[in-house]
Parts: sequence; structure tokens; C-alpha cells
Amino acid sequence: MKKRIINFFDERIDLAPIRNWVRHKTISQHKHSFWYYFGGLALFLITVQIITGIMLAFYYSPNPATANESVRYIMERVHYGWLIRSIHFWGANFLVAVVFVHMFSTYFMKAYRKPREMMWILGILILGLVLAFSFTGYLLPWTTLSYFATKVGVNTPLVIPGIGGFLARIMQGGADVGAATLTRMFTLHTVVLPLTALILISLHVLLSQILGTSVPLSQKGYTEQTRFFPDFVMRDAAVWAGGFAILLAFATIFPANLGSKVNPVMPAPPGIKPEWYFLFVFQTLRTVPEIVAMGVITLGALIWLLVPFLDKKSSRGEKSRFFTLFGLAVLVYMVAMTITAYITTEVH
Amino acid sequence: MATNRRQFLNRVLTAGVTVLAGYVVYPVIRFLIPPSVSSDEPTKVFVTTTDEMKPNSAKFFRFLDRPAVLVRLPNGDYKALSAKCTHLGCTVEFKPAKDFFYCNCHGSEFDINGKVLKGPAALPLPVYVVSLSGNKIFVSIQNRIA
Ligand code: HEM
Ligand code: FES
Repeated sequence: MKKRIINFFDERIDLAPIRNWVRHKTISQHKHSFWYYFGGLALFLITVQIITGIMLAFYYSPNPATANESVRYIMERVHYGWLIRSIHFWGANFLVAVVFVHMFSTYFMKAYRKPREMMWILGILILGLVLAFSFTGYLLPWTTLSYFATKVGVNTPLVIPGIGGFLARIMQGGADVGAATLTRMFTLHTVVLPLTALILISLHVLLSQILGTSVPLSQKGYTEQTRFFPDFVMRDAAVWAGGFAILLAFATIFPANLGSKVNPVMPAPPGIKPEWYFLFVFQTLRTVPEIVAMGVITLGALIWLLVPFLDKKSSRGEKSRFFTLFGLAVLVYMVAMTITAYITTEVH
Repeated sequence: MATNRRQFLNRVLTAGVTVLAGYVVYPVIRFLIPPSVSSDEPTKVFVTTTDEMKPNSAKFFRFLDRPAVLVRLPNGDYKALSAKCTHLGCTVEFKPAKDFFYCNCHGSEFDINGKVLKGPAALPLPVYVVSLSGNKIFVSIQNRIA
């Protein structure tokens, strides 16, 4: 039977090149190969988000009058609704964490160096998309916390002179966060971002197949080759299964909770703060004047994006101590600001 | 000569396509920018009645498409202000014990006349006009008051 199906296609479109490619493809293994599993894990988690997201969209209703109620309905009435929503909730958190690990690990291995500059740039854009997914999804349950966190988020660009007001208005869809904002966030979250993500992720993965995995400079000459199929694919699958098991454990042991519906006219309650991955931005905004904070973060992001072109040494195959230290500084800064934000808001 | 004509035609074509692209992009961008708030938004609203406002209490309501607050001071005076924090837009809270407004998002404080007592907010809360008609309390914008 299997043979018949394969033959059916083989007679019509020659599959030999693909088969040969799979058979001969090998992957370099070295001391730091472990970190390469995070890219595949991110791909897996995005797939989980897309599937659970589409499932939620069958019941979710993007209107201030019904949004919170529809999520409550998913949680309390729909069979396994609590599970699907909890997987979507935890999956989002895992995904952000995994993408950050993937980014920093490829950074420190200098995997962005020539000829993989475009992979790095696509990767940063995908990170931006993942954060945008989280920001737009956060408003959807229409709770007091999600409402005011979104409000602060869309108002933050106001500190940018000139176009700030324009940006805030485009995101809000009106003078204030309201029904129009919810429709916009829903459309972005379920249509615009998934389509964009599909294109960028396809390009990123396509390039990774064309170029193969890079070998860190320090590991040149210490590598072994593994067959892509079945060895590497099986290991990747094992990591996915492990990741899925942990995700399911979190979703069942700590199901996502649903805050009370927001009444936009009532005061913001204490303890409004963004999700953990935005805390370093939040803390920067609290520490220095906003315009300075926005300037520093925008400039930092731009440098980070262009690192493959700035780090000429790595591309020539030389050690570049400076960029290792720079990456370390960025990492330490982000961790330190996040911890500070946690400590100081808890005291508040 | 031949290449020159080809170059010229290429340029004309590029310019033409650019203009066409503009014709497509411009309406799309305009579409995404929401129309400004309609001018028929009421500039005077009925909030509540005097019997419902105990001294030293606050009532939150919607005015000009944003949250607003009506306060009755211990001495019986009424004050109405925008309740939208001028920092990043959270709704402020009324602290009756100290007669000021507090924003839970980043800790801005405003006095009863909207003046900033403590940042990060830089601008005062806009103040509205309170008018009484019998026991009915109305709030309106300053410059349009009849
Ligand atoms: C990278 C991918 C994605 C991420 C990171 C993500 C993230 C999130 C987050 C953080 C929430 C709020 C969870 C909560 O507090 O309840 C959410 C809600 C939601 N998402 Fe996604 N999402 C992704 C993809 C999708 C896709 C592809 C769809 C549908 C096509 C979708 C549909 C929904 C719906 C309907 C909700 C509202 C239900 C709810 O709040 O539980 N999501 N998403
Ligand atoms: S929004 Fe009120 S202090 Fe920031």
C-alpha cells in the first residue's frame, strides 16, 4: 500500500532529488550542539499555538460585551476548553522563553556570521512577531489586568515626538482602548500575525536547510557528522515530545485563570504590570526619562538586528571578543532589569 | 541610442509603477487610521443626582469617550475631572482620606484640581465644569459652556 502511494507520485513527479537529499544530508555535531534543539522546539511550539489558537477562535467572540464571557464559556462549558486554553496560555510563555534561548545561543556561537546574516535578521523579526502575538493575545480575555496592561502598552509610543500619537491611534483604533481596539488586536492576532509568521518562518527554515547548521569557530575541526534522517530527526522528535510533556504538565497542574471582566470606567487596581518578558522594558521606562528609555531601547534593538554586519571579525573567521562581551552585557542588563522590576513591584 | 531609449522607457515604467503603488497604498493607510471622534459626541452629560452623592465620595462615568470622575468634597462642593491618567492612560483612583487622585499603574498623584503632585505624569488632569439643575448634576466642557 505504502509502495503504491509512493509509486503514484513518483510516476507523476520525480521524487528522486528529494529522496537523495534526505539520504545524504548530514548534520555537524559538536560540544555545543545541544543548543541547536531550541530552534526546532520553537517551530514545534508555534505549531501548537496555531492549532490551539484556531480551536479557541471557534468559540471566542471579540466584542467587549462578550469577550470575557466567551472565554469563561471555553473554560467552564466547552469539553477540554480549559485544557486547550491553558496550553495556548503556557505555550505562549514557553515560546517566548525558547525563542530567547535560541537567539542568545546562536548569538554567542556567532552563528549569524557570513553567510547566515539573513537568518539572523529573519530570526529577530520572528522574535518581534512572537512578542506581538503575546501583546495582542493578552487583551483578548478582556480582564481588568489585560485591559490596563494594553492601555499602558499602546500609550507608551506617545512619548515618541511626532509620530507617537499616530502610532497609538492606529493601534487603538479610536481615542481610547475600547471595542475598536479589541477588534484590531483580534484581527492582528488571528490573521495578520499568523500569515506574516508563516512567511518569515518558512524563509528562516528554508535558509537553515540550504545553508546547513553552522559550526562555532571554536569547534572547527572537532565535529562529527550525523545523518539527518533518521538520527537527527528522531532526536528532534524526542525533544519535541519532551517539550510537549512539560507543556501539558504545566497546563494541567497550573491551568490558566480568568480574571474578572474589566469595567473601563473604574480605576485601575494595584499591581498592573506587563508580562515577564516585557518587564525589562517596563523597568527601563521607570528608571530613566521615557524618551531616553525609548531611544536607548530602539538603538539597542537596531544594533542587535545589524550585528552580523557590524561584527566583521566573526565573518572573517576570527574571534571577536567585543561582540561576546556586548552580548553578555545585553543579557545581564535584561536579566537584572527583570529581577529589579519583580522586586520593586512586589514591595509596592 | 537604442540603450538610451530603453533606459528612458524603463524609467517611465518604474515611475508609472511607483505612482500606481502609491494609489494603492495611500487608501490602505487612510483606511487603517480611525476617523476622528464625531463632533456630535455630547459635550454636556447628566451624571447623577445630588441625593446619590455623599460628601467625600466619587462617581466614575464616561465622558468624551474616556473615563471621568465626579467628586463631592467634604464641604459639599463638586469637582469633575478627566480620570484618564495623563501618563499612560490608566484610570486614576480617588483617595477620599487625602482628597487626591492616585494612579495604580506607575504611582502618579494629582490633587483635587487635577494638578500633578507626583510624577511620572507631567500634565494635569483636565477639569470639567459642574452645573446643578434642581437635584440633577451635569458635567460639561469648559470652553463650550452655554
Ligand atoms: C506564536 C503564536 C501565538 C502566541 C504567542 C499567542 C499568544 C496568546 C496569548 C498570550 C493569549 C492570551 C491568553 C490568555 O490570557 O487567555 C492568546 C489568546 C488567544 N489566542 Fe493566541 N497566540 C498565538 C497564536 C494564535 C493563533 C494562530 C490564533 C488563531 C488563529 C490564536 C487565537 C487566540 C484566541 C482566540 C485567544 C483568546 C482566548 C484566550 O484568551 O484564551 N492565537 N494568545
Ligand atoms: S498611567 Fe498613570 S502613572 Fe502611568
